[in-house]
Amino acid sequence: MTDSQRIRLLSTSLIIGFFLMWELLCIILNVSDLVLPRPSEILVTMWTRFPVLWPHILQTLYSTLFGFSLGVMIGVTLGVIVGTSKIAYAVAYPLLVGFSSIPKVAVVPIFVLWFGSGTTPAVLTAMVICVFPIVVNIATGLATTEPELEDVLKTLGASKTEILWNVGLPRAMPYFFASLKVAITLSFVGAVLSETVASNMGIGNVMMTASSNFQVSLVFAGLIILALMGVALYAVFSMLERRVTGWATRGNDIAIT
Amino acid sequence: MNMSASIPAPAPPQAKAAGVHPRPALELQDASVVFGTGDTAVTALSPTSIRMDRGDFLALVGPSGCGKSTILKLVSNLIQPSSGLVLVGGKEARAKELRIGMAFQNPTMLPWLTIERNIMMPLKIVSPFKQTYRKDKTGAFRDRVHALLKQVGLQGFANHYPWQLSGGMLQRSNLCRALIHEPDLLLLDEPFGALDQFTREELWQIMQDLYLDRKPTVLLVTHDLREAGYLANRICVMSARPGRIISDEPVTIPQPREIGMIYSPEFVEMTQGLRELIAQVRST
Amino acid sequence: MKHSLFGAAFALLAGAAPALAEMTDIRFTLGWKTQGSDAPFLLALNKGYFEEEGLNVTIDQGEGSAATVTRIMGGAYDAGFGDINAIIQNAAARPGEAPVMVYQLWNRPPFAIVTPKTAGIESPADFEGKTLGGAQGTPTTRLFPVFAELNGIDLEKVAQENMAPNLQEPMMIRGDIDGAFVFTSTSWFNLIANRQDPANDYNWFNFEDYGMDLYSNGLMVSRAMLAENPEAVAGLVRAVNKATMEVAANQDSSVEAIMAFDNLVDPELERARLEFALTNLMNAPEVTEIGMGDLVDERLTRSIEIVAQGYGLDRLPEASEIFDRSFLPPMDTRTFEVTLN
Repeated sequence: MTDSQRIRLLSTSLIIGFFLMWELLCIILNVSDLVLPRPSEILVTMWTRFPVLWPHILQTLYSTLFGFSLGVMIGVTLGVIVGTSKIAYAVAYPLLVGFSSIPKVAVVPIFVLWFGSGTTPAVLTAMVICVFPIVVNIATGLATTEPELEDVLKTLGASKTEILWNVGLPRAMPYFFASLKVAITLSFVGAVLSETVASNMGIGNVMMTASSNFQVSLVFAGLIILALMGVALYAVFSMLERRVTGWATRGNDIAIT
Repeated sequence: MNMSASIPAPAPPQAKAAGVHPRPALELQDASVVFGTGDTAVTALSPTSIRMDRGDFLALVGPSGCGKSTILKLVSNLIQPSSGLVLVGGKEARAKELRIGMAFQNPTMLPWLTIERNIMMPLKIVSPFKQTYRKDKTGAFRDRVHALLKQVGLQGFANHYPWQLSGGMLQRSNLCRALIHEPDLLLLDEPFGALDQFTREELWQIMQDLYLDRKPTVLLVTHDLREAGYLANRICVMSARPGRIISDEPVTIPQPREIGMIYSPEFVEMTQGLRELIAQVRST
Repeated sequence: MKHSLFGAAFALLAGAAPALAEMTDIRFTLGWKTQGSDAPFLLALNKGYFEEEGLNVTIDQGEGSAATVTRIMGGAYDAGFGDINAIIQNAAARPGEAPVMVYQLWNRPPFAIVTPKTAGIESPADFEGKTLGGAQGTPTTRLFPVFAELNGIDLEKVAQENMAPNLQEPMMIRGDIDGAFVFTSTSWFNLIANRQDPANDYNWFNFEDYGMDLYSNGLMVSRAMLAENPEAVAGLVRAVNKATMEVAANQDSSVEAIMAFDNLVDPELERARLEFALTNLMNAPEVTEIGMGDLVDERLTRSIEIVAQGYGLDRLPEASEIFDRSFLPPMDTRTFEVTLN
């Protein structure tokens, strides 16, 4: 058995073990299913109610991805502006930090007040919550571009835009893709957060409805679905990062010797 | 410096096919560079005048800090002269139409591009190539790259990535990149300094082949006297900081030169002469 | 109707169906998560009664019966199902801005304090020395001071704890609190979901039995809608009235409509909740005389006084600021007769 196979086996065993432990504890301690349902019960709920849950899963995915895309576009634009101009960097930074420090849970009711409940505040929250990490990473990537790389083009008489496009941005891609993993997770959290406050559709909404009706098994089913979705999104972007910026993680970083 | 009488008379630098140009390929007119102002001012380059004709291969040698790299930066427009003029092709170095090829000691390949795309990069930036880049990048330009790669012995490595190549191979790619856009002027800043002796000798030969084949105007900055003697047809010696030119003599050995020749007595005598000159300069 | 510019842009982006040219768009908010008692609105939507009146109504779940008022005042919604007492509160502070009730549905208040019999609270005086839990901002919690005054309870001697609405029943069951400020239609069924027996094991102090015969939830519309599109208001009321009559007569179509709107809820539970509302919240004696949807001005004026006292309002709004009966269809179309099936 290879090392990576062994690690995967251990990892899977750990997860299964966790759920087994949960099941056993619930049985042994006679825990009420209103407080903590057993994994077997949750599994049954997920299975039987899946057709009902599926449209909600799609809704959360949609809000997450839509908000995320908007956040990326804004984040990249701002990041490029802030990363290529020292003045912009110094001027904008305090404001950006201020905005990002506001807990988004406080912002959701404001969005709901302005736009009503539903998809719009979810998309907006997902967008707003992921902008800052992207801005910071792109700006940092651009600002730390090795001057030698830029000199290669400068001696050819390249314009600032050409240098940005051919050297700055590709150089910043590893930073960018690293931030995407973080951003998609944040967007996901933001969308679900908004759904729990005000929406008709989405997993966040499912959990709130199930919670108010004391369908605790469904609440936990929703939780597990959220966890699975979060992991899946992170994994997709991790893979993307490896594919696109494999050059940066090579041990031999020629450009900096 | 003294040359043995048995060595034939120097061959003049060959003019470019288009005809001899009356204006020098490169000229510094009392150009100086001073960093900082007032008490903390540091003179990196004293007012210096140099003149190069097309097809010249000029080697600049001197102790560290004498300003050789500063001259390169002036010519490549990375810095401006504090006084005096820098003219390339008769126009000020600031003018955009000039084509310069530059190879630094660090090959600095862009790690996210293949060797082929790295070498092709100047064609993306420099007119008139950039106008047809999109169309030609898979056609005529690609052929250019492959021809150069063949010339330096790297055929088959076009689709490799920089991290897959050794230092010497990267430097060879670097030379290709410096030449692909047919520059008016080729600037070399201690390009072989980081390589071992064998690789260095190999690359000297490649450099000589490239030079004799394409006859660019070349300004080579080096601390290696044998390199200067082997490659150049003219050697300038610079004094320590604040640097100025203290000697400017042609190298009369005919080209192409055998690599074994660098161990010959005549060659050794020439380089020793240079070394003594520099040693004098360093002690003053 | 009135959309903010961004709201319209995002609605388009989010794939909302574009409004048909002749139809009026109305954004409607419920008073809470989907409940059986929302049947009149969901049935009207499901059966196309709104469409018949030329109205393109989108219904969103709500955040609370008082929040409906703020949602409408904020401009994101044009109409909703919410608490008349919240209208009174806002009308006092901002005359002319608060929404107006146009069809009263819950003519008996759902406000109550529920306690387990084990807590030993048999009469209002027993509240002293006990701990009661309530969600901040909900009507029952905010009106407790009035309840206390009307029933001779010393507020200082009653400990109050703040908690989220859906934690009240579990905490009561655990004994962390002795009683909770609730809505009967919600709490009764929450207790059942928690495997309790609300009829036999719990005492209910309904506000209407203790001197506070307040009105509660109904259909309200924004001032803007009243001013700009009274025909739409009339159409809205007609549709809701038609649905309400149908709901009273037969609840099968209601349950169907509820499930069509939100497939997460338990149909049996919501049917039971709907029946509860029909027989406990909508059947005040006055309805046989004035018909469903209307209210008695003198009783409303009394409510205004109670609310002003409980909320500490600066002025007493007029009943006419709060309720507008001019949109009610003729009384013979508003005869409320409940048949449970």
